Amino acid sequence: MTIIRTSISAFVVLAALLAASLSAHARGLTYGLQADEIADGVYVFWGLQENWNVQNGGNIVNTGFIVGDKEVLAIDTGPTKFYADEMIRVIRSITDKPIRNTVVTHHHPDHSFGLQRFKKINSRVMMHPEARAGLLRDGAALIGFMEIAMGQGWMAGTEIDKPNKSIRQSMKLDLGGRTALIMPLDGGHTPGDVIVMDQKTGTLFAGDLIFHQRAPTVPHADIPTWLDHLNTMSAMDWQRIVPGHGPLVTDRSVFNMMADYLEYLQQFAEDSVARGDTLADAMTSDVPERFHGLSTLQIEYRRSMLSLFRKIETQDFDAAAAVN
Amino acid sequence: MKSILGLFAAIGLVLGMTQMAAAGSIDPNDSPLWQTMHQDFLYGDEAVFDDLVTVVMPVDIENSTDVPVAIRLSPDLGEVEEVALIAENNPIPLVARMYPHRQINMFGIKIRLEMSTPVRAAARTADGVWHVGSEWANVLTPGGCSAPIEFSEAGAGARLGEISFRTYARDDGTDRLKMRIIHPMETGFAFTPEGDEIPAYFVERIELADENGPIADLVTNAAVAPDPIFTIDTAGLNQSLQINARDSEGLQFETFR
Repeated sequence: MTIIRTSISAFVVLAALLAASLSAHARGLTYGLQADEIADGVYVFWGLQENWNVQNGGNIVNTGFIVGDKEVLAIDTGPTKFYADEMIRVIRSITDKPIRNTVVTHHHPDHSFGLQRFKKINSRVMMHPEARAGLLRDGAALIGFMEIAMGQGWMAGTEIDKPNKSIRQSMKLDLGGRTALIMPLDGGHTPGDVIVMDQKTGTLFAGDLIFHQRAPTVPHADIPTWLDHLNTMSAMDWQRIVPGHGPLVTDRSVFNMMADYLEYLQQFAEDSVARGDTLADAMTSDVPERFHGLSTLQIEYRRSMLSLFRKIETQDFDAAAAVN
Repeated sequence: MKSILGLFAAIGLVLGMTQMAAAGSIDPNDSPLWQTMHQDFLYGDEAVFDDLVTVVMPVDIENSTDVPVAIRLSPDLGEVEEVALIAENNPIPLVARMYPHRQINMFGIKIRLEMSTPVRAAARTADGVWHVGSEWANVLTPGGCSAPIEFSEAGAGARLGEISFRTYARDDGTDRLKMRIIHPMETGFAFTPEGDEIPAYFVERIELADENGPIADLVTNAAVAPDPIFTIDTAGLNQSLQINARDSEGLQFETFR
C-alpha cells in the first residue's frame, strides 16, 4: 500500500515538474531581466521579494554590473544557466566592453550557480576561498534542492563550476576611468562573503550581508561577526547600497533593522535552549510584530531557528555529556 | 415504562451523536492510508480525533532528516497507557511508541519524513480508546528516509551511544527531561556514494527512570532522526535519573545522575 502510494506521489511530482518545465519552455525560459541604471555606469537586475518557486525560477536575487572605459565588472551570476546567459545578453546590449571580471559575493546558489556561463565567455570569476569550498561541498545537493523547489526546467544545463581566482584580501580593480574595491567581509553571513564598492559613484554591492525589507538567511551565519560587518559597512563612504535581496538602500535605517532582527534571533534561540524548549516550540513561536514587514519572514524564521537552535542545543548537550 | 426507557435511549443516542461530532472518528486529513494505519498500529481499536492530543510541528519542512515534533497530551486524558507516533507516507510509518509510567504532558522527538504526510499522535487511555491528533506536514525536500546523510559518520564514531541529558523546571510547574543519544539511526534505505546499501541500524528501546521508579519506556524505529533528542514533561521528577538504551545490534548504553 505504501509502495503504491509512493509511486503515485512520485508520478504526480514528475507530472508537475514536467508541466513546469514545459511552461518554462513555452515562455522560452526567460526571466525578462532588465538592467536598471542606478548611478552613472552602474546597473542592477532587481530580483523579486519572494522565495524560490516554479513561477520565478529563482529570480529573487539582485545582481549587477559596473561599466568602465576599458571593461565591465559583473557582480553575482544568478541562480541558473538561463539567468546568467540572459544577464550576459543584456550587458552586451548595453556595452561592447568585455566582461573581464566577475565577482561572486558568496556561495549561495542564487548568487553563484550562473558562474560557469561567465567563465565560458572568458570572464575571470573571483570568489572567497571559503565560498569556493562551500560551493564545491554543497553544490550538488543544492542543485537537487532547487530542482525540487522550482522545477527541473529552470535548472536545465546548470552545472557547478569553480571560480578562477581566490579573493583573500582587499584588491582594487581598474575598470578604466573608475576603480572597484573588492573586499572580503567573511564569517558573518557565510564563511566567504565579498563586497564590491564602485568608488566613483559610492555604490556598494553588499551581497547578502544586507537584506533590505526581507528576512535574512542565517544557516551559514555567525551572528556576532555579521553584526561587526554591519558596523564596518555602515562606516564606509557609500551613497547607495545594492543589497543581495530587496530594494535599493539610500539611508541607514536598514542597519538598525538588520541588527535588531539578527540580535533577536540569536537571543531567542539562546533563551529558548536555556529554558529547555523543544525545537518544535521554537520554530512555531510567533515573531514580534516589529518584524512583520519583512518579506519571506515565516520561512526564513523557521530556517533560522532550525539552524541556530540546533547549533546552540548541540553545544549545550555536549557540555552536559561531559557532566552526566 | 417502556416509553421512558425509549426516551432514555433516544437521549443517550443524541448525546452519543453529539459527542461523536465533537470528537469524531472521521480522519480530518482524509487520508486513504488511515484505515491501514489504524489496523496496523492502533490494533483496529476504537479511535477518535479530538483535541486532547495535539501535534506541534512546523508545517513546511525543508530539512526532512530533522523534523521536530512535540506531542501535547492533555491532563484531561487521565491515565495514558501508550502513545504512538505515525507518519503515514513514510516507508517506516510507525516512528515510535511511548509507554508512560506516570502522567506525561508532553513528548518531544525529532523524526525523518520521506515525503509530505499526515503526522498522527495517538494516545491510548485506560478505557482502550485511542485519542488522535493530526498535523499535515508539507515536505519541501523529500527523501528524509532515503538520503545518505553526514550524521552517519559522527554517530558511528567513538561517541556512538553517548547519552546526555538536562532537566528543567518549566513555567507550568512540570519538570522537563531532555535527552540526546548519539546514534546514526540508519533506515536501510540509503546508499553510500559507491552504491552500497547502508544497513538499517537504530536505537530500538529506551528506558527512563528516577528514584521513584520508571518514568517511561520508548520503542523507537529508524524513522526517528539521527542523534535523537527526546523531551518529556512530567510532574515531580526526582534528581537522580537513570537512562538505559539498546540498539538493533544489541549494544546497550546507559547514563545516570
